[in-house]
Amino acid sequence: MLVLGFLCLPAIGQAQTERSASESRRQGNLRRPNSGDPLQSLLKFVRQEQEVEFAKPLPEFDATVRGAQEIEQRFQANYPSQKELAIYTLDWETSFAAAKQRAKKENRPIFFIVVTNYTGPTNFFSGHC
Amino acid sequence: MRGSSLSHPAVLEILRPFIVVSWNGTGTKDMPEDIWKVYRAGNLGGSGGAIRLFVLNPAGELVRAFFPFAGQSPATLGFDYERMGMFLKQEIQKATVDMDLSQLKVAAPKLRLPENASQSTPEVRQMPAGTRLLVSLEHPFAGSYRVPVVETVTNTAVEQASLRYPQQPRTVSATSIKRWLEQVYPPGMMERTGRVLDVSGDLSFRPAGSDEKASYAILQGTVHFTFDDARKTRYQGSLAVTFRYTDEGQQMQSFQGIYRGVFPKWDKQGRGVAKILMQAVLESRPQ
Repeated sequence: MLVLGFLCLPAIGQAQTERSASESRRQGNLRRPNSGDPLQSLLKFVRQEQEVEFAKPLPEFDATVRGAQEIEQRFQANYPSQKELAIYTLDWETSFAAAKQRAKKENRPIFFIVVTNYTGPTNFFSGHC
Repeated sequence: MRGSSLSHPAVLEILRPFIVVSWNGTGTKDMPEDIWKVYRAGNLGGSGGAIRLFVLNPAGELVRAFFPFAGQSPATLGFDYERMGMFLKQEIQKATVDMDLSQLKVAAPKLRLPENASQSTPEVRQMPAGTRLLVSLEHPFAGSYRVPVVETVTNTAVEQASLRYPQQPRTVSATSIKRWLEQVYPPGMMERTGRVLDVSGDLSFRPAGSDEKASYAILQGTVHFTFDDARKTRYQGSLAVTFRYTDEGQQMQSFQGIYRGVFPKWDKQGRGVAKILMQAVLESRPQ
């Protein structure tokens, strides 16, 4: 589960994790993986490193063209992958009425998802529920 | 379901011939008549969870209704991605057994992310019409956030005025881009409105030189959020955005930015906190 979740965040790459781990080592505060299942220990360790990284502010970018482009490069690197966004390769329509109209015209079936969430507004399409 | 069974390759493949649409509400009371008709005809009873699925034929007639999971929640399939995907595929297959979908010409899959519903706000002429945010999340022990949240915001005169090209470094309040930032929260919190109540923070807005293509500016700083859950959770994160301007800074051409932070999610008994990692990219639309 954690591994799949980890893959959701392409920017939290191995290189970044290694970098923050080595920074941590230099500062003499390396948190060693727990004993027990080595894979679980490793995942826990990686997760702790990610938490440290995410809690830190982004570096101060230089007020230069290069600094501006560095942010754009990070934007590209952090953009979710096609695989993560695969549900948006389906042929979505924005309303039930529009879906029915097109289905008739194109002779295609409709897959209709209805969400009734009593705790508050939901948007299945955007993912904020 | 977005991040589990619906994202499964076998489900995506079987859904290619379909037009897919969703409707969301707090209950059946606010359901439009045409949707209520389908919902009622589905006759699914009340014990299968909040998501119901309906397959309709091209004439718009209900063929089959079913729940996405074998019981009330993904727990009945062990939160297992494979099992959930296979279960949903089989349910869709049952619905299409009498449909001949082989004759349908299906276009090659193409990524089409949500776009702004309205084209533009009339007074917004000096910046792109919209903003799209893709929020990726990771919960330490739940896999429900595998698909990023994708939200769109139509820009207004407020953002346009706040983000005019900075001839000199200046401070921009995070509240002036609240309509963007209030999309940066984890879904599925199931408490109160589960949305952002307030944002604050002073962001530095600096000119960042120019080249033959554009003049650049950088907006950067820490954003503080108050979330509308039982604890009024406060969280913060770091934002950096590059803006490109043309016409000597008169016209904002595009922007791209990044955000990262941690959302502390307390369990309902208040015994412990799970740190949800949040990372977002934001981009102007159209590009």
